[in-house]
Amino acid sequence: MVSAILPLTLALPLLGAAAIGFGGLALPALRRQGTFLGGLATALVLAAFALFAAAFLSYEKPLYFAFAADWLLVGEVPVPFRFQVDTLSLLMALIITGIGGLIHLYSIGYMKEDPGAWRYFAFLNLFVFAMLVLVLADSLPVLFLGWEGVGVCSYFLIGFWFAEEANARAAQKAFLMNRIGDLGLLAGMIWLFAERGSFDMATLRSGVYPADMAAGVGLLLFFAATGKSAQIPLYTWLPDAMAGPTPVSALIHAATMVTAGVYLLARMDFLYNTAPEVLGVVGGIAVATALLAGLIALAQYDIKKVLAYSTVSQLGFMFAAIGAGAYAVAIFHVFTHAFFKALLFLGSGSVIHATGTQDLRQMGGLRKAMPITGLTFWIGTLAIAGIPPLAGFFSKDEILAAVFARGAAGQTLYYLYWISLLATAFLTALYMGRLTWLAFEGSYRGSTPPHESPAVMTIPLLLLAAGSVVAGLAGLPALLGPSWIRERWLASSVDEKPLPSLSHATEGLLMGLSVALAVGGLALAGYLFGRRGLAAEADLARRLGRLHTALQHALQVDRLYERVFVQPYFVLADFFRTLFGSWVGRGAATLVGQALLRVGEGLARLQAGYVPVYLVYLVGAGLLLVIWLRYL
Amino acid sequence: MAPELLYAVLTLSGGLFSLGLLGLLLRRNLLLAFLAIELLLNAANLNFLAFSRYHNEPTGAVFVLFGICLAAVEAVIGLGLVVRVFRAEKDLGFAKLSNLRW
Amino acid sequence: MGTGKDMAFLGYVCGVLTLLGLAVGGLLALVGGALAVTLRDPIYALLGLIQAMIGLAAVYFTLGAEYIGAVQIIVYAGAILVTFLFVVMLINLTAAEVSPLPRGLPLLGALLLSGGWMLTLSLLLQSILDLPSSHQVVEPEAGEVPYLYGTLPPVGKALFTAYAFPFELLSVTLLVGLVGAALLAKKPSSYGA
Repeated sequence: MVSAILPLTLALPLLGAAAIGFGGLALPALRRQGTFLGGLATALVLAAFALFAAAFLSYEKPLYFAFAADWLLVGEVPVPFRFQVDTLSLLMALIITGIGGLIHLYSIGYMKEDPGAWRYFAFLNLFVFAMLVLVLADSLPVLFLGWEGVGVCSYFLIGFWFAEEANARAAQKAFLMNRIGDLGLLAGMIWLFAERGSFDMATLRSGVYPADMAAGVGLLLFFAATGKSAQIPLYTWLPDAMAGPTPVSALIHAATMVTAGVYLLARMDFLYNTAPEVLGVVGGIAVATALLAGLIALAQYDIKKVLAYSTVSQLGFMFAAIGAGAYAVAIFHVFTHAFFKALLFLGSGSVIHATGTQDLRQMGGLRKAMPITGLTFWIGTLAIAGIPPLAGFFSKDEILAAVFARGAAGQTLYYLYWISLLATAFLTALYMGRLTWLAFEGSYRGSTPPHESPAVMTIPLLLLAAGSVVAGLAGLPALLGPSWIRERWLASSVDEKPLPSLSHATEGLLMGLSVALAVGGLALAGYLFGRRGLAAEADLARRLGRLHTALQHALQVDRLYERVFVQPYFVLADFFRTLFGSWVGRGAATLVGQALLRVGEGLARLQAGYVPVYLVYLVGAGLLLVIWLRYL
Repeated sequence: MAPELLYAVLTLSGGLFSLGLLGLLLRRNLLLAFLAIELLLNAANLNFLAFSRYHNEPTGAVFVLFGICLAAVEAVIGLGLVVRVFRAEKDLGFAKLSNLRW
Repeated sequence: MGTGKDMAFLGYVCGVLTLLGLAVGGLLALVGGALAVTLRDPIYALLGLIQAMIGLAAVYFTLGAEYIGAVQIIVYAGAILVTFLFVVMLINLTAAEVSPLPRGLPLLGALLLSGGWMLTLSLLLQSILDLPSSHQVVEPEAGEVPYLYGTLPPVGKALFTAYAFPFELLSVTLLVGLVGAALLAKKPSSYGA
């Protein structure tokens, strides 16, 4: 019964996007009904959520649905529009439509004054559609379709206020850096096809691959994931992507799209289980990204930039779990992170909505003026910092435990990763504490008096806060009981690389350590920023000196990329423009053009304009016809 | 009808057709070119009739009738055009009618 | 009814007469056509064409198509060519008033034509040489009334049975031609531009 209505989950958001987009294009009068269009978009996404919830409640075995026509024919192999609802994709779909629905709801309030709201909701619905295609796809080309689709929607939404050049540039940057990664996905997909002769998930999964090939494809796919999920070396687009409306940052650049890379790697777990050395690479890059982003987040003044780097850092945590072979743990962190990071972004959106600025130095004491936002933001901060029993604690603890266990299994490199992750966990608590104290405590430093946001925005905040509190219970650590999400739910679709189980004592110790670090980070933040506010910031900047400046400018990575990749590219382009444009191009073009001109002039002479001349042609052609029919 | 006779008639028709083509190609005068076209049509009619006779079948004769009617229509339209051209150009040479050029 | 010998003689006479009719009519038509395409004066050229039409009518009669021959004389020689004559007189054209053709064109046309002629003749010759094997001659059975194809009854029957619809379409075409000619011949000033 459920499988019959599942195609609707894809149809509804697509329909919404088409109706709102084309409706707005065709009927300018409709564009003014932003609230109505937003309500429509929200209703469609929540309807899709309800369908997925029904599928979740009645879940027994993977369901498949397909559209009547195939998409492609690769040689003899058809690529159908086939979709798979298994435990992994269903969980992702629930996150996408559930959190996405709340963010849609929030957007109604956030975009109320914007004349382009119709465009916004059309793209947002289209994004939900593309993201669902990505996670539900049963074959790699269809997944790639969704992968590109979310990239395009991300591009449109980052550049939503395209009248400002910086926004348009940020959108371009995000799109181009994603394209670099996409090359990896394409190449990996083709390699897999060449080896296995199929794109089908089940067929690919059942294959046995040589270790070299699995490692190669694994690295290519991980490269794709670094683009989409903002890891070193392709992470620099994500902070710039904050140019888009804040709910977009919440939905696309925190909760869903950027986790597509984690999803892809978890989906392709069989490759990584075959090639464990690639897991070491993934883990290394992940912990480096997490630490680097955590450090940069510490020195940012833009509230959204802090959250963006925090997202990069948390994505690093997820990839660290992948690197430990604990794919389900990574997905668990995707799940909890979606709640508290969406909450934090929406909270920051509420603040930006109220104060009209994104600069932390212009805020302060907002909890009094905006009690609901303040309260929920605090919950989000505690959750991401890893204070038990909030959601972040459970997933982060699982990741740390998994990485530690991998180290305990003899791969000593993972101890280094573990220490690095501990440091990052401490930093997470520190920068989030700094952010929250600077923005919500102390006294107000801005000019426009802040006000609490309307209910349409605070209700999603409250719901997400509730989720941030309880979501962690889905994956209890072994000490407290069986992890439902790992052992009951995801076990059927994800094969985790077996980990040695830690003794309860070790586990308890690890848990205590991570809690201590979280509390310590928050306490330090409270000591520094809670007591002295912005003055502590100035003090810190003075003490750290050039390090602080460097961190504030994100270690100049952008400038490095500019120098190393972009400038040489321009030089090369200039060279080829001179070579081909001026010499070869102009020469060849002149030659061809002149030749064609001459031929044309000659042929034009045939068209004399005199009727008798045409008669001669007619008779000649008739003669040729006779000769042809009779003799040839 | 003996085939030899058929070929004699066809040769006659071919001769008339060639004369018509010659006139069409060589005449400088629109009106006289039209005369040549009449000759072409008649050559075609003769062909129809020859085969009609050869197969002892009235279809060819019917088509000759159609051909004559169409020739009448063609002549009347063509002559109308000739009159128009002459009024506009005061000249009936093909050379003047070169607006078809690019 | 005579004896078989009489019939053979009659057939021979008929054959000679047919050949004679064809020769005379064909010669008339060819000479008339040649005059029509060579004479400079439009009136003379037109008269040449009328001669060709009459010659053709004679050929039609010889071939047994009396009805078509009559139509040829009445409609072609009578109506169409007289319309030409009217136009020639209406616009009072002399040969000198015609601007010349581009050079080289007549030569090219003549070359093409002679080539075409030779080709056609060679084809005809080849066909005649191939005759016995390639063609099944349809001769009327003994006792049947021969060669009625071109007389009025079979033509009329075909016209009003098998070809009734094209026949009606033809009348529409004539109507269109009539209206078109009237429109073309009107003074240009009477319909704008």
